[in-house]
Amino acid sequence: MAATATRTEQLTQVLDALALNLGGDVNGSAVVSLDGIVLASRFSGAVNVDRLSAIAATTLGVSRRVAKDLSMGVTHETIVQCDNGLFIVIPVEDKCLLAVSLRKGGNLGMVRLEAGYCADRISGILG
Amino acid sequence: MTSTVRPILGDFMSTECFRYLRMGAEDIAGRALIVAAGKSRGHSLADVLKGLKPDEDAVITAKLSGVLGADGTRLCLVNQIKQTELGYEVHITESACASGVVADAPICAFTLGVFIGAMEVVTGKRIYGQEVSCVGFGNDECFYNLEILV
Repeated sequence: MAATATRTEQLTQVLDALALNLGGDVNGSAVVSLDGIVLASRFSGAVNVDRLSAIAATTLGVSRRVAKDLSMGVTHETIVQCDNGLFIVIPVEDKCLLAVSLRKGGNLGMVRLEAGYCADRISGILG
Repeated sequence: MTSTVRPILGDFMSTECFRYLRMGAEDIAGRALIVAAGKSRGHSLADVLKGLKPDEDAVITAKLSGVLGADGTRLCLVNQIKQTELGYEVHITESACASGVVADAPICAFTLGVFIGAMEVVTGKRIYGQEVSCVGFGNDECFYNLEILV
């Protein structure tokens, strides 16, 4: 009988599925605690994932402050659009966040759809 | 070590100024920024923690007490670091983060980050941490649960 996957392994499987379903649009992704601690990641070794996770959580934190100060309701996502791609941060309830780096020209609509599925699975894993 | 640019004031400042820095930054950007700063400080203790084994609770406690406590930078009093099934329990009092603060939730983001970073150095593994109790929240001690991510 196969050993039960750890929580990190389960989260990594979710990230792998995200990359697979988006057909090469994803440069990397991570599940990050709201305190900025990386819980699972699929970024290349060239990326400092600890640092990026802290930045992703801070990005979400700033977005939430904007929403609060402008009375704009709940933050559903934060997108950083750059010349060579997109960086998307999606809160998973009040448990953690999903950070996704998308290549230039990637299908944002599909990412949003798949990320929503991922968020549900991540929420289930974290309980 | 006393900085040459502060020959009179030395290396210490009031927790009141620290509180404004920390809570001001947290108010704008959330806790992650502060936890990351704390982790960075914890990682900087690599020389002090070099060679310690992950199950040497008492030695780890003594080393961190020395560097962070009354004879160190005075961040907090490190009372106990205890290995658990999933990682470590950290028990501290007099945390600089909780000084002069009454909060409706645990507020030791920087101190938590320091212990996450320090124990990442000891274990060589990523660690996730949560504040279970906090003096600023009305508890008798600040207590963190650190979980080694595998």
